[in-house]
Amino acid sequence: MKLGKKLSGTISLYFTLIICNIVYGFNTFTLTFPCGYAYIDAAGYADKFYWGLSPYHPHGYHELLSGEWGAAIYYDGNPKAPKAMWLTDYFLAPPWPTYCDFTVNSYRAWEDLNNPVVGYDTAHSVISNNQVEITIDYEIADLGDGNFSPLMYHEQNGTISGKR
Amino acid sequence: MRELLRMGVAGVIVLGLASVCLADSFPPSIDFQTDGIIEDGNTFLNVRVFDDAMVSMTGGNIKGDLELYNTSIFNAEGGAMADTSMGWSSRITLFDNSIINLYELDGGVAYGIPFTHIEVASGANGQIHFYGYGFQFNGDVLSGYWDNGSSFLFSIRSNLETREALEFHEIPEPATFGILTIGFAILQLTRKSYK
Repeated sequence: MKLGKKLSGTISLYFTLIICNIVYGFNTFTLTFPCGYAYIDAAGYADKFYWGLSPYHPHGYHELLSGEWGAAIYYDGNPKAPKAMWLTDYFLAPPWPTYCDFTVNSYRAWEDLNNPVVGYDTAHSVISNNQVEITIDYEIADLGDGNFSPLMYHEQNGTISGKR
Repeated sequence: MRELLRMGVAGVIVLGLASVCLADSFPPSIDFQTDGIIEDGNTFLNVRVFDDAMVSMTGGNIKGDLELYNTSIFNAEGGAMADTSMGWSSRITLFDNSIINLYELDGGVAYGIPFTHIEVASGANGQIHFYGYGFQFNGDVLSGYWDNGSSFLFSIRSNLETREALEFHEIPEPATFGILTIGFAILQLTRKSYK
């Protein structure tokens, strides 16, 4: 089998969103859970994570965190070499195109009944160029109230909580 | 026999691939440089409108994103955006000096969460006009009712450009309109009786 310049095979990334931040450049899907949701693009980039009403958070939906989440890839001969190439084609804030050459093959979110989180807790997307194909799987993981969470808060009494 | 079995397996694999391809196939995208209409029966993934084109959507479905550029105008009078069955979200993004008038549009809601997101790009001067009643906006999520009484829920980008672009045009809800009509009728009758 002659591979030539073509890099064969599939690179799989696995994103576990522990109720953390993300969203977009390509077409987007939405991951949902009872107290929030996130818009995520098919390249796994995100800038929109909303937190809504919960027993600990008596407020309506609002955007949470200001950071963004994005991934890049490096391989010999990539169009951006010697730099890595962003998977997403567009960062939202500040807005700037990355000029990556990926296109979206598929993207979809759904409720996985094996995941106890209620909502569109699972997703799958595939992007590719003429050299690589990247598959990304997403899952919302609820680690339980009071356990480790990226959402940590200082309570008024000085203790740190990790609550939904 | 072995050949037949091999062909059978190949057939199953081909069918399997075909079903995957169908599941992943996207509807076409479209660009408008001149005036146009999106109506019942039209299904697009992404829609972009350029220059000074004016596009009216009276039906159909935009499953992906809507992007408005230059001085284009988009009138949403019906139809839907987003495909919640696929988990697909939609974005409405206004660039440059574009305008969107929203009279009626199903933005898609699942698990009580809006699946369509509206924003003006940073540095742009877009205008977003909502026509309806019962508007409630918490800075991130906008809810309300269209003129026909159906409810809507959209996620709104909380950047300065978007906040400044929002304009709400209150149409009297049916009950209020009814009361006003009755009041006007009573007023007319009273005037006549005085004469």
